Amino acid sequence: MPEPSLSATTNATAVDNGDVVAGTQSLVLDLPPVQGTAKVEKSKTKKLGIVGWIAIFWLVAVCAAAILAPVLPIPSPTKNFLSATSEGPSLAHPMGTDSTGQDMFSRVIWGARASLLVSVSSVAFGLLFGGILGLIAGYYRGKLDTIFTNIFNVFLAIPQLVLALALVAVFASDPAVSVGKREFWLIISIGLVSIPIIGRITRASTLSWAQREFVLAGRSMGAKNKRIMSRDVLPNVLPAMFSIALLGIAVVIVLEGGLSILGVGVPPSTPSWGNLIATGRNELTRIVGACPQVILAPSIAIFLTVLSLNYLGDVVRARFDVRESNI
Amino acid sequence: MLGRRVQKQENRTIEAQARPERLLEVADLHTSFKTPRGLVHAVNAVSFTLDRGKTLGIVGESGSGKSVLSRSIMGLLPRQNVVREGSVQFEGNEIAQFSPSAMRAYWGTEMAMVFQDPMTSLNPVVKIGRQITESLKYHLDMHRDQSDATALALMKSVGIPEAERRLNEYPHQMSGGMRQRIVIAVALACGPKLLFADEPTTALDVTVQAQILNLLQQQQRERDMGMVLVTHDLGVVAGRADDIAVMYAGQIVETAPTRTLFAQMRMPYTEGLLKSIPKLEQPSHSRLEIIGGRPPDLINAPSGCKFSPRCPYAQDRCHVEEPPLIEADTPGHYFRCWYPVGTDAGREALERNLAANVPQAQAAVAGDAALAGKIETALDQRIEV
Amino acid sequence: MQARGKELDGVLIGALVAGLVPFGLIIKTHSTTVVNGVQTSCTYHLWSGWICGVIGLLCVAYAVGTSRHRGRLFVATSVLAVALSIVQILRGAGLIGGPCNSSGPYIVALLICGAIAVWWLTVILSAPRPSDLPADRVGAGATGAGMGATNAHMRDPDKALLRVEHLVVEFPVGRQATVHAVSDINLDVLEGETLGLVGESGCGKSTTGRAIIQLPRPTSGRVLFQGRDLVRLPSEELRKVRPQMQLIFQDPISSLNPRRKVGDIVREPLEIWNRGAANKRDEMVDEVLDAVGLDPNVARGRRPHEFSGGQCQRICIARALVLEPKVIICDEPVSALDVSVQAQILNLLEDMKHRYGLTLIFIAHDLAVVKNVSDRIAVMYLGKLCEVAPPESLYTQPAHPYTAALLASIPVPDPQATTQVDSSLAGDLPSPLNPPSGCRFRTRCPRAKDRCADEEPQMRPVLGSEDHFVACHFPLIEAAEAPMGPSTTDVAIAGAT
Repeated sequence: MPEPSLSATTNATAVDNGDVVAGTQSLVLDLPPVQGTAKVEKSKTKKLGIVGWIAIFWLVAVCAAAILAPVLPIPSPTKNFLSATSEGPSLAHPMGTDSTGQDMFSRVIWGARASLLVSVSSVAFGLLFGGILGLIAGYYRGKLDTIFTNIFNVFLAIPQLVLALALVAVFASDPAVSVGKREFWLIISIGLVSIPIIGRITRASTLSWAQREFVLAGRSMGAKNKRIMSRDVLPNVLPAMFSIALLGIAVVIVLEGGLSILGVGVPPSTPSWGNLIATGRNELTRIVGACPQVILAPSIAIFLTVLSLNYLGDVVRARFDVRESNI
Repeated sequence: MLGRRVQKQENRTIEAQARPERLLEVADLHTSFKTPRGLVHAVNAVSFTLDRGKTLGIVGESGSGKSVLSRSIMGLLPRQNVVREGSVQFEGNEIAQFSPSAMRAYWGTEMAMVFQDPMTSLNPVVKIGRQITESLKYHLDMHRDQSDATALALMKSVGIPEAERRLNEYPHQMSGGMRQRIVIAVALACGPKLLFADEPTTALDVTVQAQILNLLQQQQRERDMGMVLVTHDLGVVAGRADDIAVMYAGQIVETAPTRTLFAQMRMPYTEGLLKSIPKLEQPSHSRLEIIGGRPPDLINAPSGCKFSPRCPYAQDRCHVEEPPLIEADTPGHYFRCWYPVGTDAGREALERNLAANVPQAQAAVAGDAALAGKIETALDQRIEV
Repeated sequence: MQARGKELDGVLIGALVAGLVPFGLIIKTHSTTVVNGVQTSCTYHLWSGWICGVIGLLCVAYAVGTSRHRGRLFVATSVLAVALSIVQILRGAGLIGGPCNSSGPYIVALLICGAIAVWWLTVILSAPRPSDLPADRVGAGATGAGMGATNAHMRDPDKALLRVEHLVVEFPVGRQATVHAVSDINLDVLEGETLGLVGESGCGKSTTGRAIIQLPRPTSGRVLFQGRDLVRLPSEELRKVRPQMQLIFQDPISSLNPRRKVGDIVREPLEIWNRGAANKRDEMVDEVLDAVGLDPNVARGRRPHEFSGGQCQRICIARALVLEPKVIICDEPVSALDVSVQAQILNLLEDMKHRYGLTLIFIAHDLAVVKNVSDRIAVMYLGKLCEVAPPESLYTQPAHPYTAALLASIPVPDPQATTQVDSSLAGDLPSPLNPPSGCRFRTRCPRAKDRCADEEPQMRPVLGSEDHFVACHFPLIEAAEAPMGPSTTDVAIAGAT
């Protein structure tokens, strides 16, 4: 076992001291290796686990199906198989048909299109504006913060569903408006509703990070606010924003369903998971010839998607939860 | 009731003066935590004894296992993921294997603890009076009037002005120093025989620190308690402890009566600790001695002497063979070192290291901070290899 | 205050504009709401809803924004207005309620609501703004404090690299209350000198350090750096001065961004100021990392959490040094570290001071630490200076009772040393919200007499000791009479009348 000593040799464990240090000659630290080395675990990545992989698989499958719906070998969602109305699952119709003979499997896949479009876009909208407002409010504080926070609070005090309902009702209540326009206003109104939620979380997270001393250090170095916000604060706040956004997508899918029940969601002519449930809700109370798959198929799709998003949201949060110290 | 207790204490004092009583005896105590990275050996073969009315100072850097030690003795560590072996005898009773419910009879009445942070160790939503009387009611079956009177007396004895008014206040209405006095009052409420003070003044200002330490000392003398004072500051224990145990990497590396320790320290680590403290009587800009590196990873401690990678005296033997606790000339003085400070062997070892330009020795003697930093990086790297 | 008024006006105008946008949309929408001959939406409901909603939102924002407690009722009313407006909008859009013929009650409620809101708005706007009050007080306080200036300890302004004059830092807290963190402090630092600033936590020493680098700007006073007053410097000019003055913090881990690599953290100041060619910057970073005792090859690619506290403090020092500043303000740089690490950092700062020709302001609560690094020590108590002296005379013959108490309470690592129980301080630091009159230390001072409550002690030289000044009526060693300048006579006159 060699003792720590000055030596001229350079080996794997040697650390060159460099000759910059005033007054010391170039020296090499040669230390004996540790015996019975249990390698220090450096990787802190939280394991995804089997559930995580299933969640990812499900989301990828749903997204792929939604995007590829027009080219998939499935019947048109609006085609009526008059010979097979209210049928249970079969080979021809894996999820059965509804009372007008439309293929549920196809409708669920096409429904994913509308549901995901609305939910992802509206959350992205909320993330963009809520994130910016929250970041500004939390970073600058003072009057600006008070104004933004109060606007957030007022918006939060209004029931989300009612606000979205009011907005859609005002801007796109006319049955004559096109599906695209209806969806656009849906996205805007749900996005508006999500702004204060995302904004508040961004603000809270920004507030705690902006008070950290490295932000003060940045300012004392002469960095401009924009630079500090984008380089020092935002990267630390993003994980919180994304984990809430993932949960937000799940909430919006359900919210869109609720709006459909109230008649202001995606118009029934275009299937979405929400309006599938909304239009099929009578099936639950029918005693004769009930076909529960009309409700069950989209419900299970929503259930699995929301569950996957929630689980992945947790994983994302844990993954980006950097340790600040190893002492 | 209160009178009787005071009476009992007085009797106890007389007894104690007659013959020193062994209060606590810890033998070969091991405590490890199970973590995903491996077993953290936080306390490693620690043995010591404490007599009634005496103070033991436990000194060490953060990560030396000193806080875990006191918690382990009191049985305050969670059962899960903790491996505890060894013997803890309190007044001759073996308590190491007691269950938490059995230990509950000891907590408060026999042994108590004062924690570092007075804010977190008090319940913020419970009035101060109730926090003190709670244990009185639980352990001593006191009635309300009795317990209130006792609480008032306790608060006065720990030096709280306007105790009657304070009884109905909440912790946040008091300053840090006052809160720590309350924590001490809570700990002393049931008249424990042994008090653990775990860094009781680290969170406080210097002027308040002096007040709290004086208070602890005064209470310890009045009540004839045994006290274990855990701290990172040799200055805190120097004037207040009867014995000092220096901890490093979960082990006691040197233990001695206070005066002996300061006069004839043998362990290079103790020497390094003492010499690295800036002292008022030194002229300003005087160079401080430095111990390069940092305490080892307790999962993967170095072979041989745990301090050898940082030690300015270290020789070949130190890296291979772990020194046992060796008894010095003075009774009660033990240390773990093959080349002790103040002996010819130690002097030779240091000279040899200096002649061979061993960085640890150079950094220590010259106080070269940059070199000390390089040593730390090099030691880190070695662990990762 | 002008600025605040403008800000508010801006908000009002912005909100009104924001409120007008929906009107346009509603008119447009309304034209298409007659479907199949059935009127499904009622224009006036929509209109009134929007008006009421906008006024309500505006009022809520303003009331809470100015944090006026009597605005609670006002907030409640405004919230009611918003709620009503939603009902109106829903009704207007034909989503709730029947056809548009029973609108009477709604309009009445709406009018009442709007009237209350407008009334409150006028009340609020006509009342004096609470934010005006502290400004007046601050102004008065600043001039008043300026009169009682105590500056016997100040040296030749031409020689000082940094000169702090009548520095006052106050923070408004809640209603009408102000924290007097720093009250009229005078300090100067010569080039190459280390000034130690010592005191208990809450005495304003860190605030002083931060006020010197204008983060945040002080309430009043002057900070002269190389002859320029930083307090009055416009933001962009001040930013250009910043590289000359750097800050090192107490908690090294919190002062490093956990998501950035150490190489980037140390390189950042160079990027901000575009110093050196891009390829030269890495060399500069390596050099400074090496100087502080970190191996550049190892350190550059890692993140802060892979280092110990001591190493993180080294990184912070490297980041401060890379711009080659003139002054470094060390705000309790070793308080969070273990003794062995503390010694390393203290020695390192000393080495760096010589290598880079630095001037240091060293802030700490531990007098022994401060004494080790300083050439001159200023003792602070509750926002005021008590004593300024070279380290040796401060230690051998403290003149201020507070300094003596501070010295006595430091635990000495020597069992032979007798602990002076008597001279240790009783009690706690008084609240800076309402500091004691006269001498601020009098509430804990063993030597306090009536005079201490009436008259604020002036800084005066200690007799027989060079460069040693004390602000105390009854110092432990003889001090000269306070220098009688025009400033002190003013105080005397004020006191007499």
